[in-house]
This record gives sequence, C-alpha cells and structure tokens, in this order.
Amino acid sequence: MDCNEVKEILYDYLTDRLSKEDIQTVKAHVATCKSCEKDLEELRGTLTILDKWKPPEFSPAFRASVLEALEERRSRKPATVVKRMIEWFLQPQHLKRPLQGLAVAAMVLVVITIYRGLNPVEDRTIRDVPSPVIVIEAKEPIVIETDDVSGAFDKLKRLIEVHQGSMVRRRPVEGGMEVTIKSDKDKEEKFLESLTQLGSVKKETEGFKDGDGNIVVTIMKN
Amino acid sequence: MEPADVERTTELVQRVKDGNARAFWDLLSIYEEMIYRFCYRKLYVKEAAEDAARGAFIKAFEKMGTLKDDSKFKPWLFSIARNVCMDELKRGKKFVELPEDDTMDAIPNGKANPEQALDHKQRMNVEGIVMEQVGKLSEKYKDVLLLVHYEGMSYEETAQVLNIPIGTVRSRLARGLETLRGRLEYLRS
Repeated sequence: MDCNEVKEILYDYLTDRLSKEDIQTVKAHVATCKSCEKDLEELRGTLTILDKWKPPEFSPAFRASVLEALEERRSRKPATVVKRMIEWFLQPQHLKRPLQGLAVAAMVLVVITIYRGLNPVEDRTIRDVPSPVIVIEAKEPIVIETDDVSGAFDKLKRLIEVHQGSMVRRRPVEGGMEVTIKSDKDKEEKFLESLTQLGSVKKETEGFKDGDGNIVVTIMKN
Repeated sequence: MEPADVERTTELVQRVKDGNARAFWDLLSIYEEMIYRFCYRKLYVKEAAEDAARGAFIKAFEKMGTLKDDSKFKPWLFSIARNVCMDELKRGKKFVELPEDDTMDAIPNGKANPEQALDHKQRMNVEGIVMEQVGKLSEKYKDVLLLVHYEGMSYEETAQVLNIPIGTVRSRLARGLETLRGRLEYLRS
C-alpha cells in the first residue's frame, strides 16, 4: 500500500473495521512513514474529541410512551374519519349551504369506501395487528404507603434506573398512583428490597406481577 | 451489525408482521437508544429527539408491511427517523439555531490566536464545542458522521439509510472528518 491508500483507511484502522491482514499492513506502513503517522495521530485526536459528545439519557418511560401512542392511534383511527367529517360539516360556510355540504360529504364517503376497497393491505395492518398494550392486571400489586406520593415516585424512577429496569406505564389510581415496571430477573430481588426506601411496603409473596411479568407497584398516600 | 443481531431482528420483524405485537416491544428495546441518540444529534433537544424517535417507531410499526427485506429493518428504521428529523428541522421549531457560518475562518485557531482560542475554550466545554462544530457541517456530511461514527453502522448500512453509493459514504465521511480535524485542532493540544 502507498501513502494515499493507507490514509484512506486510517479511519477504518482506528475503528476496528479492517481485516487482520490490513491492520498489519497499516501498522507496518505507519511505523516507517512520518507523514502517515502524523495523520494517524491527528485523526485519533479528532475522534477522541468527537467522542466527548454524549447525548443526555432518554426517559425510562420512552418505550411505554411509544406503545401508548400506538394504542391511542389504533383506538382513535376509525373515529377520526367520522369526527373530521362532522367537524367539516359543522363549519359555518357549510351550514349556510347545506345541500352543497351534504353533496360533498356524500362524495367524501364514496371516496373513503373506494379507498378502503383499493387498499386492503393498509386495512389489514390496522385490523390484524393486535393492540400492543394488552394488559392482564396484577392481582396483588405491591403497595407503598407514603406521605409524599410524587416524591416517592421520583425516588422510584431513580431506583428503576439504578437497577437497570424500565417503567412500562403509570396511571393515577384512587389515592395514589400505579406504576408498572419491567425488571431484569437477576436484579429483581434487589430492586424489590430497595422499595423500602420509599415508605412502608406491603407485598404479597406473589401476585404482584401482571400478565407480561412486569412488577406492579401502587404508591398510596398515608 | 453482527450477523446474529440481523438474524434476531429479522425474526422479530417477521413476528410483528404476523401480528405479534410483543415482538415490537423487543424491537423497541433493541433500537430505542440508538434511534434516540441519532435524533438527538440531529435536533439537539432531548424532548424533540424523544418526540422524533417516538414518531419514527410509530411510522415503522404502521408501515411494517411495506418493508420488503426484513433483514434491512435497521437501515429502514434509521431512514424513517432521519426523515422525521428532517421534517422537524424544516418546521424549525424545536432545534437549536447555530450561527450561520460554514467556514473555518470564524473558528479560533489555537496557533494563530491563542488568546481567542482560550476565550472560546472557557466559554464552552469541549462537548459544547463538538456539538457546535458537528452542527455546522452540512446535513449530508453530518448524516454520514452520525451513522458511521456515532452509531457504528457499516458503510453498506449507511448507504442504504441515505440511499447513496458506498463510495459516496466513504468520501463524505472523509470530507466531514477532515473539516472537523481543522475546526477542532485547537482542542487537541
């Protein structure tokens, strides 16, 4: 390899994208070529600086929020067309011209009917793929009693992070909040033990998991 | 991406297509972090990046039936995420405005003007400077850098995401890195 060929693969060399044979070739070349050695060190320095850019952690509830959004869209979809038609029909200019409005509304219905007939794949996607959020409730959620529900919830979020779990969903319940947590089996025991930091814990030996094996915790006000 | 990862992804995609929504959860767990990181580096704002990543996954779920080659899910998903981010950037609501300057002249050069460089260093930490300088690259160089360097994608996968030849991926990466080498030179000492 000459200098130009080596310079072209210096990035690959530094990021483990080369075959063993090419790695040896680059090493041997750089050992005897000051210009390529200088380029290699400069590139290494640049990459080290570039790697300082670390995005902030994303929300532990992100995954659950995607599924919630999908569920919402799925349940809203059939109603949306009808709702939009009603909203359109109730616009003042159409009330003033009811016959014209009715005619256009009828046309929209015809177009939708034809569209659905011509696009069975889209329809199947919506109809056949089951809801991503099918929840079989936990029989006996873990109950944490505390004076400060939102403070305990903040602490719980930190505990979930510390034990490398993730929050699947949360919802308000009477007198508090229910939180569903996905936890790694190896870390589950320690995570459960750590819940005592949040308040007084009432936990049955079983029944605190939902149908997906997620831990369900209810934080209640004392 | 290792062959085993491609195999696992392909299997999950097929299961989602067969109506197994649980498999989509598993796909999410594999790709959520990298898609979020990519969106963040495009948009610079955590909340906007989460919105964009969420939007990308929703589109992917809804359009899964149109994915012809299941083994190409990863580049396909990144391509969707990139489009969502580009739409967001076009709307111009949620991203950080960077100074309009695409030349190296405005960047303090440690050798030529150490005082100015020191000032600049003091004003921003290294991470901030990297964000600023990567952000100043044009999108075509930035996309390649984000995918190849920050996400560790192969040249082939990157070419698929951006729908460009592999040779173009290599040349854009080299050009982007060369520009950054010059712009970040004063930090290397």
